[in-house]
Formats: sequence, C-alpha cells, structure tokens
Amino acid sequence: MGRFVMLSENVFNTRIFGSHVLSANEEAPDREAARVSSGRRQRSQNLWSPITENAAAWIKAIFNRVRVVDTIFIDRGHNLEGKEVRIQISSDNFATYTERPATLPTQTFAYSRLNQVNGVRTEEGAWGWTFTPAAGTAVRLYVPAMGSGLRPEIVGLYIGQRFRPQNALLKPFTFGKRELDYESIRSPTAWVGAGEVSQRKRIPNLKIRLADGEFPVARYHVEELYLRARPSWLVPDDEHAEKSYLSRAEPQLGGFEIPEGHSQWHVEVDAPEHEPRTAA
Amino acid sequence: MSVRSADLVLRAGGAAFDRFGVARMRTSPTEDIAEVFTRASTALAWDRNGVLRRAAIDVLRASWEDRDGDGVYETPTVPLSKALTQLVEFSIPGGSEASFETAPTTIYKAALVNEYMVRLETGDRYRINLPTHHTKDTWTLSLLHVADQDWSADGGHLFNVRLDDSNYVRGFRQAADTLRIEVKASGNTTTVDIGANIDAGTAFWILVQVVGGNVQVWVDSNGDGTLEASAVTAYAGTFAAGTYQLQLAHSAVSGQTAEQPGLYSALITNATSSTPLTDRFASGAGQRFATWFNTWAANLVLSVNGTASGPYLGTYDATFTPASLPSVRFWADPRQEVTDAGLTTPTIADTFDRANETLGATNAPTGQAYTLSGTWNVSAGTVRCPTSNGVFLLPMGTIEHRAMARVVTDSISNRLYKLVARAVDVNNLLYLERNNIGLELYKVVAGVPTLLVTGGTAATVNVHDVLEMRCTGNDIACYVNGVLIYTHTLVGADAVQFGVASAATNVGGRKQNSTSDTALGHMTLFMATAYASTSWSYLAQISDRSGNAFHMQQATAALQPLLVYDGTRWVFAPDGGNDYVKYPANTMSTASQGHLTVALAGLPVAPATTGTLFASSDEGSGTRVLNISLTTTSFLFNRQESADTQDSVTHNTTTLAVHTPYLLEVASLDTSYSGWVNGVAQAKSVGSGADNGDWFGQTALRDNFTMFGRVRSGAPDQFLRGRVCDYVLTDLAPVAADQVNLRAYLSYQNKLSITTAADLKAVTVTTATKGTALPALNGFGAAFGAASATITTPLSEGIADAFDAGISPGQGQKIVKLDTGPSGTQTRRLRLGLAGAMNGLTPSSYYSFVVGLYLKASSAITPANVQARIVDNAGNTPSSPMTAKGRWQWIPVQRQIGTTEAYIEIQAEDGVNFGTANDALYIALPTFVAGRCIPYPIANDAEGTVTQAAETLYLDFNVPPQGATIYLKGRERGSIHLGAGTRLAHIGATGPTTTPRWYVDVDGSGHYRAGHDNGLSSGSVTSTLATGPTLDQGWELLVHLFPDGSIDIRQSIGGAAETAAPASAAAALQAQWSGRRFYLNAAPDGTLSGFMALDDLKLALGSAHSFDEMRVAA
Repeated sequence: MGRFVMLSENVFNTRIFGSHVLSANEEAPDREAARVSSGRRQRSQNLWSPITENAAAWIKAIFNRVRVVDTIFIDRGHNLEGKEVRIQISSDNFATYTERPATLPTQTFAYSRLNQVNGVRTEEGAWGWTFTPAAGTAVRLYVPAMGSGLRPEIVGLYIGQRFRPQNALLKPFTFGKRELDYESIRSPTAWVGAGEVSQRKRIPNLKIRLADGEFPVARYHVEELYLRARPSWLVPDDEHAEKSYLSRAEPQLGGFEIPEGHSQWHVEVDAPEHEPRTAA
Repeated sequence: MSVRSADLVLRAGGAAFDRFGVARMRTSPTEDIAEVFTRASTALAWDRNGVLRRAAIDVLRASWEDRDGDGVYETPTVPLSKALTQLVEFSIPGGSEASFETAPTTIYKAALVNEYMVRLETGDRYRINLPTHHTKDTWTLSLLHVADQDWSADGGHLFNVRLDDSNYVRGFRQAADTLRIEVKASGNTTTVDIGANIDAGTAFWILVQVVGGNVQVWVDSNGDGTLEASAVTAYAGTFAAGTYQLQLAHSAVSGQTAEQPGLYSALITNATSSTPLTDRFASGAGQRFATWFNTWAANLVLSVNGTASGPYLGTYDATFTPASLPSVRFWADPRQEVTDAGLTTPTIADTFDRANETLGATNAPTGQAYTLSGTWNVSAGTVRCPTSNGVFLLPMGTIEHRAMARVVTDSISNRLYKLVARAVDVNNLLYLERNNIGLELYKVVAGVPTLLVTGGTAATVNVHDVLEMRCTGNDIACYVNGVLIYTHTLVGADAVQFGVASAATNVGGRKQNSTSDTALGHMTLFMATAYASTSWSYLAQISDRSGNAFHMQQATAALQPLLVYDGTRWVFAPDGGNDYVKYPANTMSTASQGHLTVALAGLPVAPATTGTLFASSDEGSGTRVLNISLTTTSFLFNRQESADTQDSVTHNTTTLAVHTPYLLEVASLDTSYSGWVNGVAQAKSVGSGADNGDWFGQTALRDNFTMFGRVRSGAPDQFLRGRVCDYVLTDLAPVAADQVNLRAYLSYQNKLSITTAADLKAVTVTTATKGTALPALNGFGAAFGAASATITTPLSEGIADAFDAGISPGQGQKIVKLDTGPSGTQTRRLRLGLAGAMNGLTPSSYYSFVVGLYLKASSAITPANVQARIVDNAGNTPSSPMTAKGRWQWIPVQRQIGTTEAYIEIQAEDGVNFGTANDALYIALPTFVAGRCIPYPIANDAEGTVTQAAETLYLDFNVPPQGATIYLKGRERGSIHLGAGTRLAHIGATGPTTTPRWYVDVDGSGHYRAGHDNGLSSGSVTSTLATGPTLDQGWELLVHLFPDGSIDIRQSIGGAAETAAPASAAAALQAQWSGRRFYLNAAPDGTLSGFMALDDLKLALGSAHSFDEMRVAA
C-alpha cells in the first residue's frame, strides 16, 4: 500500500504567496494567467490560454525566494492529454533551467503511481505527477506547439512541494463513502421528481498519526494551508493515485492533538471533495 | 534529552530544502520571513541531475552534490563562498580562438590543423601559386612534416617558396642530418643550417620567417617541445617581383630535384609585424603550429593541410569580398541566404550528387549509414530502386524531426517514390505519397501499408514535387512544395508505434509496387533535421549582395529553386524542370563589357538541354537575349542576339564532368569573349555569328535578368539542373589580380576543391574524418616520441557530438574533447595557461582548480589514469583520479606552486590504447582560482578573467542568550586554511568584543573553534578543537552554550566518533545578543568569510543535547 500525499502548497497561488508574480507568454482575453490559481473548476468560466495556436506557450511564477517543488496537478478541463508539457525550474529567469518533461496520459489506469513516468490521469481527468525535486526562484509550465488549431487551455495549475507523511491514513478512504446530491422535488402525492444534475462527492475524514519530527511540516501543510481553505490535492494512496481529488476544507473542527494513550501527534480533518464533476 | 519540536528554533541549509522546500525551516504555521542572501554576480550550482545551472545575482544556490562519487547527485547543500577570481582567461575553450592570443602559454592544440595532412609519395610534387598580393619579402612559413618513411638522401627537399632559379627560399636535408634553409635573392645565395638528428621516422616542425632582408628559422626536430632557433641571418639581394609558388616535396631549382616524401601541413602568411616570433614559444612547447595559425590567421596567405575540402584554388586577402570589386553589379551568395533565412545545417543531407553506386556503399554525405531494404541505386544524380517496396532509412536519433525529399514523378499512374519519416525499421514506418488523388499519408505496419489520410490536389505528370513531413509529438504535418496540406494526429496504436514515446526515429524513402528503376520516377534530394530546426528553404528571392539591390525573385512557389545543403556546402538547387529567378529590369547591367563568375558545386547529371547559368532577355520577342549557359556537350557557352545573327561561342577546352566543382567565368572584352574553367583560359569555337564581344549593352529591349532559365516571349526555357553557389557579375573586363582573388575567394568559401597547376598533384588526404587521429607516426603522438611526450594530441574544440550524445555538463556550457590518438600507451594533456609573468601567479602561493571530466572510453581505458594537475617546473600535484566512465566527474586539485612558471593541465594516461572512435575525454569548464579551496565551477564565456562575488547569508533570529545548542553539518571547502576568525556561523553584530555575540570560526591553525563574548571586558571565552578536517572532508559540529555562558565544541569528521574540546570558562550571559541575526560563513560586516557547503544547521534551546539528538531533531 502506498502513502498519503497532500499538495496544499501551490507556488502559483498568490493568496498563499502574495509576492509571487504570475505571467504567461500570451493571455487571451478573459483567459489570463492568474486564473489558473483561482481554485475555480468551471472550464467555461475559468482558464488560462494563450492567443496563438500551434505555438509553444508557457505560464510561469516567479518566487520571492528559492523554493523546491516536486509535484504538479493540472485540474480537469485541460486539453493537454497526449501532449508534452515541460516543468522548468530556474534560478536565473530561465536562462538556464532544470526541466522535467512528461507527456500527459490519455487514459485512466488503475493502480497508477503518482511518481510514474508521465504521471497519472485521475478518474475525473485531472493530471498529477511527482517528479524529482528541483530548486529555483521560478517555475514555468512550458507547452510545445500542440498542433494545428490548438493552444493550451488550463483551468487549474498546482505546483509545489508535497506533504507525504511516513504513516498511512488511519482510516483509509481510497474507496470510501460519497455523498450523493441532486435536486429533487416531492409532489404532494409523494411522487419524486429528480433533477438531472447530480454529484457524488467524497466526504472522507482524514486522520494520520504523525511520525517523530513530522509535526512542523504537517503544521505548515495542514494548518497553514489546508485549514485556510486553500484548494489542495489529496492522494489517499499514491499507488492508487488515479483516485486523487481536489479538496477544499469546509467549516469544521479539525487539526492536531495527541490523543489520550498516545505519545505522537495526530492530525484529523474532514476533507470533502471540492466541486466534483457533475453527472447527468 | 531529546529535542522537542518546539525547542528547535532554527534550521537551515540543504536539508531544509528537502524537508521544507525552502532554505530555512518554518517555525510557525505561517511562512517565516525569507533568508537574506546577497551575491553581486551570478554563480553555478548543480541540480539534482548533476547538470550545472546558473543562479542569478542575489539568488541563493541550492545545489546537489555527489558525495560518494557514484554519479548520483544525492545531497542538497547550500554552497557559500568568499569572492573568487577565475584566473583562466577563457574557461570555455570551445569559444573564440582569438581569446588565446593574449596568453603566452595557452592551449595545446597541436593537432587541430594537423588532423589532416597531405601525403606526398615519392614522385609526387605539390605546387601552388601564391596570390599576387603576397608580400614577397615579408612572410612566414610554418611547416609540419612527418617523415613516415626513410628520409631521403641528402638534398631531399621539403619546401620551396619560389619565383625562379634566382629567387627562392627552400629547405632541404643537408648532410649530417641537418636542415638547411637556402635563401636566394637576386641570384645571391645565403644558407642557414639548423637542427640535428633529422632522420627517418621523425616528425618536425619548421618556422621560417623572412622579414626585411633577414631570415630566421626555428625547428623542433625531435618533438620534445623544445624549439631550436637559428641566428638571424641577413641575406643579400632582394626578391624580384612576380608570382611565387609554394612547393612541397619538390624543388624546381635547377639541378635540385630530390623530393622528400611524407605528410605535410603548411601555412604561409604575410607577416606584417616584425615582432620576433620567439614570444610565441616563450614557454618552451607552449604554442605550436595550430595556435600560431590562429594568431596569424588574419594574414593567412595559404593553408595546405589536406582538409577534406581542400586544396583550394589559391588564396585570397582576408579583407576581400566580391562586393569590393570595382564595378560589381550583382553577387549571389548562398551562405548569406542561409544566414538570412535562419537555416541550420541539416542533420542528414544527401543530394545523390556523386558517381553512380549502390546506395549504402558509402554513407550519406552527412555521415549516416544507410539501412536498406531492397536495392537502391545512385544513378545520374538521383536515387532509384528496382525493388518493389524497397526502403532506405537514415537515423535521425529523435522522433521530433522533419524530413524532406524532392520526388520526381514520371507517370501519372506510377507515383512510386515516397517520403518516409517516423520509421521504426524498414517494415514499420509512415510515408507520404503524391499521386493522382492528392497527397496521401500511409502507415506501414509489419510491411503492410494502410492509408491514414487523403487530401490536397492531384499531381500532374512529371512534377518535381518537394514533399515534407514535419513530425512533432503525435502530429504529422504534411507539405507539398512548402504548402501545408494537412496535419494528422496519431492516436491509439498509431501513437504507440509511431508517436512520441516510440522508437520511430528514422527517416528515408520508399519505393512501391514496381521493379523498374528507370522511367518511373526517382528522388533527387533528401534531407532531414530535428524538428526545431529548419534546414532548407524555397527561394522567393536570391538577394543581391553587391549593394545594388538587384534582387532576383520568383513569386510562384513551384518555380522557386531550393536552398539546400549538399553535405559539404549550401547551394542553390534549381530542378532543371521549371525553376528560375528574375530581376525585372535591364538596369543590372547595360555595359558593353563585363565579367561573370559562377561557382558550380556540381552537376548531378550532364545537361540534357542547354542549361542557363545567367541570362538577360527581351520578354517581347525571342530574338533579343544574352545567355551564359552550359551546353548539352558539357561546355561553357555564351550566346547573344539582338534581332540579328546569333553570336554563339563555345568555350571548349574543358568538358565539365558531373559531380565535380568548377569555377566558370565568361567575360566580354567588348571586342571578343573569353572563358575560363578553374582559371584555365578556354579555347573558343564560334558556332554562328562572330566572336565580337557583344554584351548587355549591345542587346536591345531587354526586360530582365534571370538565373537558371531564360524568360523571353513565350514560356521560359533552358532550365539548369545543378548545384550552384556564388554568382558575381561586374561591368569591367577582368583584371588579373581581381580575377585571382575572386577565384580564390569563391573556391575557399564554397569549399570547392579545385586544382589548376599542371603538376599540382591530387594529394591523398590521409585522414578523411575530422576528429580521427592520424595513424601512428603521422601525428604528434608517436611521431613526437615517447609516452612521456608532453604533446597533446589531438584536441578538437566546440564538440557538438558531446552535446548530441547528451553529455553536456550544463546548459550553455561548452567543452573540449581530448580524443583519439595513436595506438599504444600515450599521455595526452590539455594545458591552460594564464596571463602575465609567472602566468600571473604569485610564487609560493596556493591555487585551486576544478574541472569537469567525462570519459567516454572502451573497456581498455582505466579511468584512474585520467587526472588533473597544477604543474610548475618544480613538480606537480595530480588530483584524485577519475573513478568511472560515462558520466561527468568534477575533479578538484590544489597546489602551492613554486617559483617557476605554472600552468594547469588535464592529463589522460591511457595505459593501453586511446585510439578508437569510442574513446574520448571531454573537458568542461576549467576553473582556476587563487587560494586553497574547493571551488564550484565559475563560467567564463568571454575573454578575460571573471570574478564571482562573495556570498552573504543571514537569517533573522530572535532568541536571546540562553542555554542552547548549535548543530552544523557541512563540507570543508577551504575555510580551515584561512586565517583566525574565519566564520562558519555568527550570532550578533560586528564590532568590538563589548557587543555580545556567539560564533563558530577557525583558529588559523586548521581547527574549528567556538567563541562567546558577553560584552564585558573579561567575558570573551573560546573552546578550540585540537584537530581539524582536510579539504573536502565532511564534518559535523556541535556547539553548546551553557547557562553560565561557558561553551564547548565537538566535532565528528567524516562520520567518525566525536571529539570534544575542553569547555571554556564561564562568561555570564547577557539579556540579548548585539544583533538579531544568524550569519553564516562570514561576520556580519561581510569580513572573515570562508568557504563551506552547508548541509544542515539546527539551533535548539537547551544546552544538553548530544550529536545523536541533534541529528534526528526535526
């Protein structure tokens, strides 16, 4: 069994890192670079795209200090499947850079490992990948020319350093419960008319016993980032990474404690899925 | 007592990157303020892949180091350094040659020119005219000669710079194995004898300088690197004016005809400076043939070195261009077209412009071996296949590629030749076919074709279509004659087999469904390149480079000639079917006399019809035209008519052979025509009219100038099929000196190997492939003696193949290659010198050196025999040897030099044999700095030295004095050899000891020390270790500050058991430190800085923590 992975840090999120500067080689009208970190998942209303078709394009974030990044998620709704992307990390504004290339898979496979070559297509079409860490003062997602009539479209872009605690979840939820939600109307005679739009939202409770020395790191990722309602990618089992999902903390009572009878910090939060894909 | 998380108040360094993603830990949920770092220059660091990357100004370096030499850069660290100056003036040897001129000792490149030598056997004589602008009495000859057979009897001649029997300078073997230089000017003879032991089997180098009535000679006759110099000898008389010749292995002096066979490289220059050349050799064997060549290249008169593309037709003044000719009207230059179009030389090119052969008998001109299915024949400048479904493939090495071919179709129903790309092998590939349906893309899987796409328009008969496939990712863009027809995206199984992750990295051609190879089409050009590059172009315009803006144009794509690479040079490639370009007015020339020179790279086939080189015509008639052409009998020809009798003159001395370069000239002297082929005046045959010299001025109503075809009334005609280079048109009858200059310029620039003189032998180029060593005895290696010879051989620069092989040490970094050499045990050395007296070094001082080495070698080579060293005449200090092959290793070395001249050197002692094509040593980024340290590489990509600025780093820190423990882990990089007080860490401000501070430094005697000043006059205490690490050892330090203000320090070096220094006396803690900052590697004011690689820093509250507790604290 693999381990739990959380990507709450996102160097493209200027609400986390207020001094980071986002830019892109081009920004189509109403498709500006800043939209990739809005946390919104509606493709029709929120994405970055350049103007020129069939040309190399990039979007980058310049940091306020040297940072290490090792994980990327591109939210569902992108059009990069089967295309190559290159994650480039630089300390001199890309005069030189370290590059991590991958070609996004076009299919979802069971038992996908988050660190496998070319990463993982999640069940709802997002893409995640853990790559060899690299340090720099800027990161760039570079997309080579995609072909005639095509230009990259990215709804959500998440790049940062993951949190991967040593211990697995106390209550694994890889195949856990979901909350079914749809509009329904009950007639005076008790006939039910169900709406067409439904959601099957994951509603897991995340609980981990931290290992020695993990508390400071966990506090940053969970308390500072996740419990500030930063959109976060949760990978219940990084050997079943196709089940990764985007979560955003809802009002709750969560955080750290050392339970009675234990000597280690435990962390427990409710981790509901954020805006799951709707299905007719 | 274990360290609670809450007590760990500070952590920084390489380990923090791994754990926190930043250089210092976050001590609260919110991100702490960042570390503060400055460095006024850029610097390099290794990324996790072991590739050097650059950190911009003021950007902290996060570097990964390979601590165990296994090739994995596993340890994150923060390198910190004081200011350093890179003393190698040009640390990237792949750059400009000129940069080496400033150093008296620079880089050994003995074999750079010597990679090619001409072999002259007994009876061979080599003679070539020197250009008329050659200064007859101020010149220098540099000659490398390898006597690979017994030295001739006394009198055997090596060279002769000669006008006639009364004016020459020659060198020959004199009795007693000496070399005699004989100068004869105005009939007066003077001799200079020099050298000893010149005998069989030796190689030696001769420099003869003739300046203003004096002659001096230098000889290295035995290859020991020591030059023997003759005295300066005055000669009587002056050299008469005239055209001198350089003769090798041959003497035309009356009564002196013995020649000296062997291998030759020679340079002759106009040495305009009277500066003695001895400074070129001030460091003994420092500079040799090639370096001297580079230094004096601006005055180069003639080079004879057997390069694959030489010898050329004479030489030219370096300042000469056709645009500088008087009355120049037009100049077409494919090299500048290439530059303008941003083209790059294709990876693969084959124009099939060679003698008929079975394809694959030789490699493609660009070097790749053919893989064939069926029989393919190179025939009449085409490639044809009599095998049904035959395939030829060439390796591109990447799936991201473009392939292009000109496919000639002879029958509407037999579109038999296809362009292949994304080929896995001959049975699995994609191909593009132009046919009577349109343009069709097929896949072939296990030999079975399946149609993928149809589009475009049907072809017509006999078209010379240029098909292109541009393959990027899973997209295959398909072009005809430069026009995109469609793009097909590979999906599913196709994407797996031929897509981005496939092995479909080959390109080529395919023949289908016929066993006829005669009348059913063929292919005349094939090229391929990486997708990102463009390496051919349709020429909508051939620009006029004369400055007159008479640009030749062709707006119709199908009629545009191609600009292609033929394997040696860029050429205009008109197809002979309908290609031509035109200037639409007669203003280019209205003169009554003129001179046209055309550099012809080759004819793939004898002209089937008259082929136009250049023409000017009346578009309203068919009777007013001047055209200069090639006849169907392969003669140069000109024809003029102006509604009168045609004046047709054939220049018929030289029949033009196919696949052969020529310089063609036709001139009008107003009264008659003249023609030259390769500088040889042609006999004339007047076919009709008269040899009256009627030129443009006598041809009325002209509307245009054209190349490759004529445009009169009616359809254009007389198209040329050929590979053509420069055209130069002037409005003057030729002046001999200009003519010579122009011939030399065009033959040299276009790499046209042309010989003219009757006794200019077709020499054997001993080494045909650059980078391949001459065999034993032929180069500096064995020829220059024993295994301990200090000659580097051979060394080549700017090694593209290293980058092609993916072994670049870092982006933008260039490397040199110390590669194959003679067989047998050899020592190869690359030396880099430094400017100034003592090469700029201070006697008795320490210097440090780090170099990246990549050994690509067969199993016989022992990596341990490759090492770097700093050498002076008192001895040398080798580095740690290499430990592995096939990856970059960075080798440091330090040395205290003596009082004599020093240089740095990389030495490869092969032990067995370093002589196969698979053996090479790549050398990157030598960095040489003053001091005793382990520097990171400092890139220097411009001439002169560069400085890497000092680095300062501090962390804001707000913990008042109290019992605490500092744990430091890092790598000793030089601080231990610096003066007392050099800081590793420092809390508090700079100032007198009255400012409370806590620090870790060195004691000036090679030991680490901890100190605490409480600000009181008696409150300065220290604890000093008794032993210290050596350079590049790993260390851990543990420093306790106890509640009574006493301190102690402990260390563990290289993971060994800890040792402790005695605790200091007490010194009462004050309420606060004198500054709220934690400095690393320097004092707060930037002084006392050192060298370190900081792997980890932890500061924990409590003074009772052990090494083990601090190691695991997180």
